[in-house]
Amino acid sequence: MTRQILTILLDNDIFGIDVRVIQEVIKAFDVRRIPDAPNFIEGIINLRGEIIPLIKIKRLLETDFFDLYKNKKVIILNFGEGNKIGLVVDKVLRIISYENTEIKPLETISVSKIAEYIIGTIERDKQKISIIDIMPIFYSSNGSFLYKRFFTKNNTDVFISKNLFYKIKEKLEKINFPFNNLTKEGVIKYISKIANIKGKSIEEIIKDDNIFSTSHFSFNEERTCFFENKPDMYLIDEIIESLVYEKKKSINLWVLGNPTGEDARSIAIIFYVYKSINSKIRIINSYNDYDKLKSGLNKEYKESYLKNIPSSLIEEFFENSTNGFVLKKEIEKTICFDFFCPNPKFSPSNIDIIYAPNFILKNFDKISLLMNNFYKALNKNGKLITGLFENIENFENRFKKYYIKNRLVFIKE
Amino acid sequence: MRIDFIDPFLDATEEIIREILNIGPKRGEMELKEQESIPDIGVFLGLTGQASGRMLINFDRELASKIIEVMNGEQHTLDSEMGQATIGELGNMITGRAITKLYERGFHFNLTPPSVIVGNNVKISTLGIETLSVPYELEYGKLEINISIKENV
Repeated sequence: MTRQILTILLDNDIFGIDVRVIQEVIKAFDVRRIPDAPNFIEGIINLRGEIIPLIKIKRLLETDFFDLYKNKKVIILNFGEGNKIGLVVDKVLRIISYENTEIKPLETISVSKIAEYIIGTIERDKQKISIIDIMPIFYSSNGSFLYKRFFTKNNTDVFISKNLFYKIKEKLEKINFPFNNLTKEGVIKYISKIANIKGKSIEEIIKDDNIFSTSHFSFNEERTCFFENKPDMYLIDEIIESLVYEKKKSINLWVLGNPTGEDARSIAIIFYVYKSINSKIRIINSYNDYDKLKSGLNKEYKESYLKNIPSSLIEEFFENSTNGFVLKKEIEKTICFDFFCPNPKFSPSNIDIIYAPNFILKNFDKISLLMNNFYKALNKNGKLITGLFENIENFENRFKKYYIKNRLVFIKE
Repeated sequence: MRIDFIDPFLDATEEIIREILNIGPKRGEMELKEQESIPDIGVFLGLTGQASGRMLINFDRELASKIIEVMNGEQHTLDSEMGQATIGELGNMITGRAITKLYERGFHFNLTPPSVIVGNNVKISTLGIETLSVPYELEYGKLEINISIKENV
């Protein structure tokens, strides 16, 4: 039997979607954002009077790369009964026909979630096209439409027994992660959320050491690649996008805790992706060790550092150098390396976003000094992004607690 | 403070000291300061251009005497005109080289003539501009560089 699929590009791979569920392909326009929605919801659009939610398929299916394509297309899927969804994809290629007999099963086992929804692959012009089984993504096994569940949120408090509390504490002591007033609440919420998703008890979850090996628990100042902490970068991307829409004259960011500057450079790349941006961008990468900072200046990178960037886009951001790759000059020039110690008087000023993952924990003895610096540096409505578990509420009341994409962020009012 | 501004000054200082005294200075821990002081003798230089700021180099009495002796081939006191001119010249050499390095990186600066300050514990208020203070340990005494540069936007 002959079938037709529309081929789309997600990062470096080509996927096919059955044309029978596709209503049309449009350009993303006038997207309304939904506060506090999960990170795979781009927003909603009004398509000729119909309200349609836009879903970033890459984030929903957790593909490997960070989202660096911006001129996206939207495929409107129509499942009937008024159930419509806009699927945000990097690129739409063309429609091709294939015979059922052409389909080969997946050869390699992929770890990404998208593999669960692949029927098989076909070959055209020596390129592999993976056919996505689109219905199960949005429908549960009993046939009910699932997208409504995406909008429900879960921020309720979690209570755990003393016994469990000490077990978690013990685990964290082993990896030298402080379990104190700053992190306690966040860690417990995080673990119970994972337990919830995996359908296991908290006790079972904490037996698995892998839970504690993620970058959220890491004190490491060195990065092994760009976009190393993807959830954080998604969050920053989200905030940057809203700043870009505001059309501010200048946007200033302050990054702490990564002296060699991979975090700052990742953020500079995100800005560069918004080509139409007219604002003056300035990213301050600061640290209190001069020699480490200096080693990050004009750093050259091996290819392994670029593994989170689609290979088709590497040329857009990087130039070849003698020992590997360097960031293009026009991107690099938005970053400045700055020597900074928490101190009573001096800090950068006019900052819109401070990104300081696990920096407060590291300088816990100077927390009030650091908070003063952060408060002084930020503009009104400026945002402070701390590590996933750092809740400064008990130490500082000048910032307002706020959730962006289910992640705690602090805002100066 | 931007390290691409600081960096050339530290490199220049280390180079010049090594050239004159033939020993590598050991860098101590840097800190940001609000108030500077000149314990014995210091040289003061202003910077203008793409960024504005100033630099103050402090010398211990013993170190200053040693430098004056090596540079002139004979001893002069810190209070003598010759002694002070030598310290001023050293300041010029360091900043001159630093500015060359900055120029290579694309930053354009000009220098003001140096002023040499001699006295006991002279206090200098920075009036709220942050100063980065970098101490160096040498065989003959201590040297301290205070840099304060602000980019002109």
